[in-house]
Amino acid sequence: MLQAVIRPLGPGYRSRRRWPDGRPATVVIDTFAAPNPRLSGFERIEIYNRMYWFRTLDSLHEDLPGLRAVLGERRFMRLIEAYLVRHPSRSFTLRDLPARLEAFIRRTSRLTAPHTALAADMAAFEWAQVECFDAAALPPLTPADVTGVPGSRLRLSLQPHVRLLALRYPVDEFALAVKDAALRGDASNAVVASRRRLSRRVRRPRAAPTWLAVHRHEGKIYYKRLDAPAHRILTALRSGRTLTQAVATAGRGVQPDQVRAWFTTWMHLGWFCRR
Amino acid sequence: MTKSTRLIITAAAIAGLYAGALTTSAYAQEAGAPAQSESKEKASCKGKEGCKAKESCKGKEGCKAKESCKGKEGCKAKESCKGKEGCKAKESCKAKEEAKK
Repeated sequence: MLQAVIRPLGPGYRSRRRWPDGRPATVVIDTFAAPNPRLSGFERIEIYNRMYWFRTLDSLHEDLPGLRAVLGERRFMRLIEAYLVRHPSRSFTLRDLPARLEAFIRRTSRLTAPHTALAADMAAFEWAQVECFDAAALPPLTPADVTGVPGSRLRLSLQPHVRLLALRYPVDEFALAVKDAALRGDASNAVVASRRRLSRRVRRPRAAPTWLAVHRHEGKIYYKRLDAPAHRILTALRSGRTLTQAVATAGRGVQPDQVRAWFTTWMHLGWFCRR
Repeated sequence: MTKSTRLIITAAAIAGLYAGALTTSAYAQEAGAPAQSESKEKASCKGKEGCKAKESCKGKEGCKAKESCKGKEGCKAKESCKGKEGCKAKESCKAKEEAKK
């Protein structure tokens, strides 16, 4: 029964007439779904089959406005349909649905070429926001927690809601531009089609290495740009390195004042927590 | 990075940790760009000026108080709820008045 409900739809978003092994789907479905006076067993199951797909497609459509803008509606739909066939929902929550999309985009570049790298970056960025939204916020680090511990033994944990990204494209700016365009569309009572045009009108960004932290502050999600050495330090801390080891990853050009300012800001924002 | 440089940078990092801990709250600009734009939040029903707070049916002029089904001019008296034209079927007080507001 489950297989009948979650199997991919066919042309025209209708249930496929053939079962995966080649038998007519009606023959298979009639073995477990009884007809009623108006609908055959196949037609009854088709209602659930379509509902399942429309709900999952709708969920991804809603979660990924940036990726939609990168690819355009038609290519986006083709991508997520292929993605859901390969990675159907396996979780009790639709939140987890885009978890493997970035890897899928990189593996199946024909669906997104020539914008594969940008699409993958955007998928990673939008997934980071999903994760950031409901990840835990642990008790923040206090001076008492670090007092008397030498840097060579001091290990700092990052809050689970802080997501670090190293990207090839400045997708944060692009995502904000897409949202602004969509809001302008809302304000002008534009119809859905016009909103789609608006979101596509935002020019795709040029490649530029971008380091980001997606984090929560006072209940809201923010994107914060990072310098490359700062990103390296935070990544090293997250992986469990000591403070001395982590700052060593910053490289030669880094000045003590810079590092001091970074740590002040991160502490300010409550990014560090107790281990 | 030499050992002495590493020590200086580590000391700077620790100084930053203390400096950051001394200030109670972060400036919004330090947090970066908000994912949700202001205008969208304002339009939301949630919050101070949300639908609930402003035009709720609960309160002085709410459905209950003004045109409740219960009471003198209620559905029971005029058009029995149990029949064809009861509150639920045709003119549910709650639904209609809420829609108006």
